[in-house]
Amino acid sequence: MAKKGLGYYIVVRALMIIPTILILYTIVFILLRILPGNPILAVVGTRNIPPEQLKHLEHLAGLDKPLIIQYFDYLWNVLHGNFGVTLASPMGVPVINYIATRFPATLELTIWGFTFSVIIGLVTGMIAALKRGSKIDTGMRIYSIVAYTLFIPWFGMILQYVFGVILGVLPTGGRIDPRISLQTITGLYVLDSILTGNIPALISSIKHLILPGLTLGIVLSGAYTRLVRNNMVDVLSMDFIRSYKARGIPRYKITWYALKNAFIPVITLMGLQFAILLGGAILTETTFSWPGMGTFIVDRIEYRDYNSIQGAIIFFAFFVAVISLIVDVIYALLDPRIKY
Amino acid sequence: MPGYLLEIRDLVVKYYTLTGVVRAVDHVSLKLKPGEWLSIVGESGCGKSTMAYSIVRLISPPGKIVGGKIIFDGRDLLGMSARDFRRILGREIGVVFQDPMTSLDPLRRIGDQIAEVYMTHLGMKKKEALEKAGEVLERVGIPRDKISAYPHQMSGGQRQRVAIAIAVALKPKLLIADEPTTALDVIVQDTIMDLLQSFKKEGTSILFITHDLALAAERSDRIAVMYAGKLVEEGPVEEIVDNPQHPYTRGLLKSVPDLWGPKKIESIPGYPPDLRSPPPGCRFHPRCRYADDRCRREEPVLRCLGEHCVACHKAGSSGVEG
Ligand SMILES: Nc1ncnc2c1ncn2[C@@H]1O[C@H](COP(=O)(O)OP(=O)(O)OP(=O)(O)O)[C@@H](O)[C@H]1O
Ligand code: SF4
Ligand SMILES: [Mg+2]
Repeated sequence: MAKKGLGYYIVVRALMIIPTILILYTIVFILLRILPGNPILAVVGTRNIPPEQLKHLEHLAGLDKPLIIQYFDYLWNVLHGNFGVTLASPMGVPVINYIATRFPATLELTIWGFTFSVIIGLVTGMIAALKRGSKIDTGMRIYSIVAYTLFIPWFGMILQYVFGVILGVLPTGGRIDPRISLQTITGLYVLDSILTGNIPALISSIKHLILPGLTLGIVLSGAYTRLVRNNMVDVLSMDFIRSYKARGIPRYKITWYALKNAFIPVITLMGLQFAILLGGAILTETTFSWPGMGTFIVDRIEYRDYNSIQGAIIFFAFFVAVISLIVDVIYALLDPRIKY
Repeated sequence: MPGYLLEIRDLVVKYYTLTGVVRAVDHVSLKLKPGEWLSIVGESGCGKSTMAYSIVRLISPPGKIVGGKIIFDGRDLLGMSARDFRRILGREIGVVFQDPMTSLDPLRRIGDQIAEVYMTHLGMKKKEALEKAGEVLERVGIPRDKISAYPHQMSGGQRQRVAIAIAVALKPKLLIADEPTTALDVIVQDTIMDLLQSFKKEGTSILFITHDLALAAERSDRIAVMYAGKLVEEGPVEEIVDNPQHPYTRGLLKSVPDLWGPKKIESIPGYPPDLRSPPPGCRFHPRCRYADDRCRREEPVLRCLGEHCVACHKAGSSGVEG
């Protein structure tokens, strides 16, 4: 019965992705048309171009059609897996080509940032809870607030300055040393280096990931520290922890059981945090010249490249929605009390 | 020295709260023989749980055991290392708590939680431990196939049976039960009491904590009555029920509805004192109708006549009417 329930739950959650993305697309579509200018004007810039040629270019890009037609045309294309072609220089390149190289970069950064944030958050939160009321607890609380309120570009620049400029131990931009050639398979450089047994590429790509990964990770970890600490304190005062003690169960095991119970609400936060990652990734990527979806979107905004921006955002939103669906399913599987 | 299983000597436990020091257990001594059922009875807040948790060293800040000794089976429980103590806990002493709804881990199957004590204390492999878990489940009256159920899939009474199963899994010498039936309805209460009694028959001593003197009287060998952190009367169950000496014990008996007070049900007037600043002299004096000047000044000591002990200036000799 539970199995059937879970399947049903997954289908319902999956169907809910459709309206979410439709709404997001609509908002992006409207915002882009409100911005002054259009892709053609952005490319032409201040050059003088005969009006009929301008008309012709706009016609080629489909910008002379009524807005409502443009809206549904693009939607129709996306439904068929076609994200359109770029509308600004270089013109006519399928947007999916950009996504194919940019998305793995963002995914790799996101995975690292996410992993850093969860590890840092769990460790700091757990220590704070176990040392509740001590100076360590206070320190962790301050950490959580400071981390939470850090502004990514500012914090990223400090890390770049300290580790890149003063200490000179870590690169401050890019994904890999340009002199190293790496055969890409998945587009995730660390994974590709391992798959192809390319040690120099592995070292270089990890080095490049540390600073942006830490920047994103630390900023996102603040929320975890706080949540893990508070949950853990709650759980540690629960009756079943006392029962475990009264059965002579070793302390480390009890701590593990407490952590598991404290972790349940954290999983929900993980789903939510993934959505925030889009914003975090844009800021981190621009700070560290990371060639991912974030920098791509920012570049393309200058060109008013409607198709690229719409495509990138829809793709990313779809990805985030799928991840949060997976997180929810994990949550449901881990907590036997959840009823679908 | 006749063989006592448990000896509590002059135990003092305090809670250091922001608003003052709570003297929750104040120089209490108790003894329990092997195979005996001793009930500790008293109103809410008189220190019963504190006393029970002291035995298993579950008093945590702001609480602190500040004095006394607890000897279990010839060993000094409060003096031993945490490691040594953990070997006794769960193996030679089992504990059942009041609220079955919260005393099991919600994320783990009950079979795993039961099996864990076999694995921890006897070093059993998981498979064998689960086998034993199934046996002990059946012993407490729950079908073996519930072994893979989660706590939330069971009723309160069933969960309390599971908690008891875990506590008695290794056939402990002592079972401490802190109001194990208070959260359950009356019919379920009775079956749980039967279950506890069946373990007593197998040789387990029982330290039973309750605010319900009638419930205690049905099953106990001996009863200890606590008031405001003090032991006020203690003795064999017949003595306590038929020949109570302390006015508080009498009050408790009279407030029992159908068994001992068929004509009029009286409850004891007033409330127990604040244990941060208990009254001087006899702590019961503000509520006692026999109280006199001496009671207000001088604290009565526990005096014993045979097995029956009582702490009241007017007990035994004269004064308190029958
Ligand atoms: N953690 C704590 N912090 C401060 N005071 C406490 C704490 N635990 C218990 N006390 C106080 O110690 C006294 C004895 O409490 P205890 O829980 O032992 O009583 P009890 O007889 O078990 O009562 P109940 O029937 O309500 O369970 C009470 O006055 C209570 O307020
Ligand atoms: S000592 Fe005095 S006040 Fe206390 S119970 Fe006995 S008669 Fe009452
Ligand atoms: Mg209690």
